Amino acid sequence: MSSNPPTARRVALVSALTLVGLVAAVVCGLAIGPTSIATAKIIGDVVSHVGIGHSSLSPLQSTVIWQLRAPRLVLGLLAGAMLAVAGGTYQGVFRNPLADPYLLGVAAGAGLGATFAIVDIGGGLNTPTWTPLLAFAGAMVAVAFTWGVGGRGLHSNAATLILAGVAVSALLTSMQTFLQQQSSSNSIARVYIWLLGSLASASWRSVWLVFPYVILCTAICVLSGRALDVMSVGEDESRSLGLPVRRVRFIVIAASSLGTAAIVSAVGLIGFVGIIVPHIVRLLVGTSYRRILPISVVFGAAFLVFADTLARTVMAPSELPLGVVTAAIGAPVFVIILSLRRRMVR
Amino acid sequence: MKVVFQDAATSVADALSQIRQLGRLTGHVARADSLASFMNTYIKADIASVPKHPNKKITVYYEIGTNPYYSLTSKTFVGSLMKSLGLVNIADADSTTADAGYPELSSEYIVSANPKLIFLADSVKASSLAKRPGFSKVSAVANHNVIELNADIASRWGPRLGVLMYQLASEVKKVLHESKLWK
Amino acid sequence: MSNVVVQDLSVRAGTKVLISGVSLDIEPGTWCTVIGPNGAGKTTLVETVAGIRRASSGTVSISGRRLEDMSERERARVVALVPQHPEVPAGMTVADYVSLGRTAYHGLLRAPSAHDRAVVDSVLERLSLREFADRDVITLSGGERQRMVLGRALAQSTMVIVLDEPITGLDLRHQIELLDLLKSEVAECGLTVVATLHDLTLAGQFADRLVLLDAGKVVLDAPASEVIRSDELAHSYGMDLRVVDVDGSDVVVPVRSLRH
Repeated sequence: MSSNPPTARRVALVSALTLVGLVAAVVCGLAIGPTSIATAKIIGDVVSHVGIGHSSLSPLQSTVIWQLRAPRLVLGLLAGAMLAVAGGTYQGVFRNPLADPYLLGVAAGAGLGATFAIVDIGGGLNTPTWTPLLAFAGAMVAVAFTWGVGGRGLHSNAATLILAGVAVSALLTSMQTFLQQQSSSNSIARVYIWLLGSLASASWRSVWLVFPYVILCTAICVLSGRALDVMSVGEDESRSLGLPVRRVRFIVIAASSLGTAAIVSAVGLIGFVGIIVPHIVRLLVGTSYRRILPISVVFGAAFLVFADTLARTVMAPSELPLGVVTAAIGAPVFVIILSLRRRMVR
Repeated sequence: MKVVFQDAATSVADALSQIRQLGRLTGHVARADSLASFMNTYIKADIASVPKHPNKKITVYYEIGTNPYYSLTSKTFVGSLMKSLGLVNIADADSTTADAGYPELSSEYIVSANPKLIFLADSVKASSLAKRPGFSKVSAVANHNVIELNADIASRWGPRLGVLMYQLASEVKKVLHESKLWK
Repeated sequence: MSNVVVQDLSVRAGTKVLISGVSLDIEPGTWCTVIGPNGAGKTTLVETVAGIRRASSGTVSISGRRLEDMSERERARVVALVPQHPEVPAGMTVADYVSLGRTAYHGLLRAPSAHDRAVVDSVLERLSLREFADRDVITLSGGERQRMVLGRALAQSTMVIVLDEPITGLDLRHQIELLDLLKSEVAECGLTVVATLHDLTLAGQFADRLVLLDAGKVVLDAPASEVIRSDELAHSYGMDLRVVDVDGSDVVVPVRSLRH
């Protein structure tokens, strides 16, 4: 690792390899599963949908591919992309390498909302419709609360926001734990399954529900790269350079939190993607968010689909919770990144 | 005080001998014996009422939990009842020793196994199955052979065992009569 | 031409008064240095002039427009700041760092224009930074680094430039080099400079005008040679100061105080 910022050639190479990884991930997501269906047949089927050749898949195989694997693949791509880009954005806006998309209370709020639905306080809430809805609402309320406590004051800065996020998260988590304690063991098991995250219940409906949020929020995050590069010199200096710091911070935090909340409501809490993906990308292409963010979108999407493929296969026939897989990969990778960084900086 | 432990029954014979044991221990030997032989007669009759169908493989998925989906194999009590009716349990092929006869099944596995008959013992509405991704193409769902079982009856091996057996048997017969489902 | 007018400016932090009742009228093309002991309010004053700190009362205006009426972007095209402790973002190239000065021109969603790049190029050339252009900012020495920060401010193409202790931590040669560089830029572009400096000799030699600040108030505001020789200066610092003429330049020499 040289101490000089990476060259344009290296960035192009990394981008190309990341795209190759994405294609490989898409193939894995469609081709690997409990039922073995030949990859060639699947590709033939995909091509036949564009009007070339004929599909040799049976109707049932076609159902497996298009109703089960495809929505799960797409939801995985969306979740990975969103969590990674939101993590990178948070790290930029807070100038804090440990920032992740759950920093301002999204996770705790969504957890409380989902627990509320699963424990079924109101009666009739424990349905596939209410759980994501309440999780989403909980996440947004939590972030709004954090912003209200720590983000509005005249002298508020990144540090006060982070502290407010920690406090709000702690409060909501304690409420969530309390609710969980009051419920039956059956509900507790379901809450845990939700908390650990999974793509198992993916359907086209869940894909379309999160799609607009993810596209809009990912676009805003990626476009904020230049602003985040300016912010790397700190709030005062970037203001002196003409950056409307407060407005940028609000927009960027709102976008990354909204997108994260949408994803979390659909797939539960999947940890570590938001931290390690931007860090790996940073290690490869340098510190500019104009490069980190777009590459993280692709890298994160590919990473999560690979992780989900592992989750589906290592313990087959049953599935591992996706959050367990990402943490199991994420934690050691994070340690390696830290030691590499320490060696690089001086 | 005397404590007697009765393990989960894994067959009809098991269940009946447990009833007899309870009768002996509580001093109702005669009544327990007559209940057991009464149940035995009826269950045997139920089994006999199902026509033999060696060339017609009726696959079955018995759901005991969702999100993730849990099922049971022929090694379990209810599984043994279904087996005695000549059903082929889709969970058998996907079970390991670790799950003790209650495997977790992925939705892809269930859909590809394409069961002809689905029993729901988890208070799920039969009409909701078509809304699950991919399930609308499953034979049992497409041909309305999804049956909601009373969770209380379906999970116990007491005197009402005959009620469960009767219900299972009549559903199997119904499916057999719609033999146009098979080639 | 841009004149800087400070009117009855007060800045408080909570209940603590940092500066109060400061009024200045700085002519275009003037180099005005604010001096004074630690805690006098120098940094507060220049940061308020640079617009990154809000006035509690009073106003700062440049070319007749009040800073508070300008957007961040407009202000960054009018006044640039060289901060006392600039952040050095590891991993950024020197060229990219200097380009940050163009943020207010190309905006946040567009890439720098050809003109923006030309300005950055010319700054790199003038400040002899071209050979470092692709280096990581953290690999620069203290003198090079400070030149780079100055470069970013010059790239803002403002008529007013504010510098807060720009030569802190530099050795003597680099101190003079940096100030000379600034002087030639000022002469060439007709810049108005508002600076703070601890070194009284250099403050006197490089400024047209000195403002002596003590406890948040202006004690003296006059041509450099006059302030350097004033009794107020010694009084503010609480010690004896002698001014020696060396080849026509004033040199301020502290004398170990006998008063206790």
